[in-house]
Amino acid sequence: MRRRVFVTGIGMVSPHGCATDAVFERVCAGESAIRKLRSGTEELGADCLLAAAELNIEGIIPRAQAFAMDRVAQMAVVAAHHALRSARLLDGERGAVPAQAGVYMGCGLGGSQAIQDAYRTYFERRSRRPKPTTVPLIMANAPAAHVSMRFGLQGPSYTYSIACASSAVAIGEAFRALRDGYLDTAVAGGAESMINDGTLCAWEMLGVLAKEHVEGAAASSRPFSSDRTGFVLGEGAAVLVLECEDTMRARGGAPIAELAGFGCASDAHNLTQPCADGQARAMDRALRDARLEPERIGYINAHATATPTGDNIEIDAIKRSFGAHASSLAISSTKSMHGHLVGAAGALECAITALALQRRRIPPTAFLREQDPACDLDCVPCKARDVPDLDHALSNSFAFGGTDAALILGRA
Amino acid sequence: MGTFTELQTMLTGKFDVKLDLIHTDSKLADLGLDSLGIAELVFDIDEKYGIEIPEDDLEFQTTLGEAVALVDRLRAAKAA
Repeated sequence: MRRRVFVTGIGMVSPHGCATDAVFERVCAGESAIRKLRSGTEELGADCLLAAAELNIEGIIPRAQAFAMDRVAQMAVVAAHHALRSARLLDGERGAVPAQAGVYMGCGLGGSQAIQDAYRTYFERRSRRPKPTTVPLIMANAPAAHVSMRFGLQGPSYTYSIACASSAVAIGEAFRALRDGYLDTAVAGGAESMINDGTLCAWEMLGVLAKEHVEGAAASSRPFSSDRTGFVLGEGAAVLVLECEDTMRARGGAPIAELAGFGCASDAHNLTQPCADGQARAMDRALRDARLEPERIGYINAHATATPTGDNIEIDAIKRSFGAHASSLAISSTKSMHGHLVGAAGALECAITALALQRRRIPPTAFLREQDPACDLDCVPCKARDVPDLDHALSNSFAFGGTDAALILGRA
Repeated sequence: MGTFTELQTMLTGKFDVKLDLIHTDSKLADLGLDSLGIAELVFDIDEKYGIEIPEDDLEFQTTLGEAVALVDRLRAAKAA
């Protein structure tokens, strides 16, 4: 029997802040959190376009635990705290945090700051003695482990490390575990933080990052624009509380949105080049999984990272999946404002999609004044749109390595 | 500042140990540190004084008084 699954809590540490309502308002206002920041040493530093997040662990992570946590794990725990509080599970008013809940987290790179610190110790200080906490700081499953430990969640604790699709797959797998009766509650999302010089240099050399736009650093992530040049790295964490219907109703929890379907596919094509065929298969599978006709979808939160070759391929994939309905869809890329959070991207965008359904308000693609003719669908330029009859939406996440994931959400 | 006071500052800072638990006869096990915490403490002491505490010389059953004596001995040996 398929059970219905609801998003009942949302928490985030995002480039737009931690207050979910305010984050959604800022994104709807087309406000970019992208800045030019100085990174690295005096000798080798550079100005980088980044969407950094402010992290405040006060009152959430005890100091005696923080030293064994990389920034990425701290972000995950803070976002999980906000998510559980938003689900009314921390204040005891609508039940307690269920001990049998599962943890499903996405993370691309793990504790990248600790990797850099360890190598710096060896190569720069010529010492074989990095911090003894280095391995636990680096491991990619540390965010999930810390969330489980901090909140006493004794169900399965899984980490999905699938580059840019990490947290979309984490949410999709948690959704299936709940729908199919393996679990009643899950804390699902992702975290990523790799704003350190060694990692940034590596990204620069891949040739996928945006150049500063003439309108200023904030306007440099320009999905679907004729003048897009690449993506801007962001950092942060986003976590959802997912509950099956009975569990939610029994404790008087309130749904934000329903999770209705998940589809995943592999391009089996190329490590870094996207492929419309695989993307379309992921969306097709999500629609079949949700048992929905394409016409029921009103909004797509696109993966669209603003690389010159990527966005038009996604538009092509949407046309293949949605046929004639593609031209009636509203499609936006909020990466224009919060940048690309890689392992946390799918979760943050899924959260934004859930809020869009709850408020029937579609956030725009910021800075979209000259749309690429190859991206000839309705990409919601510059202005948020109120859509009173919006009842289903889809969020795409496509990864290096060729994993394509699509989540479908419905109005609760 | 004496070594004991300096260790006390380290313990109450990064490791958030309550001041009233910190006496010369307190064992590291009494301070709420797990094995990773002890490893980190040893590392921080090594870094601070430029010494290298041999593996297992600081463990759960070591008292703070013994730790102070050990650190002072290693520092003296280094200075000699």
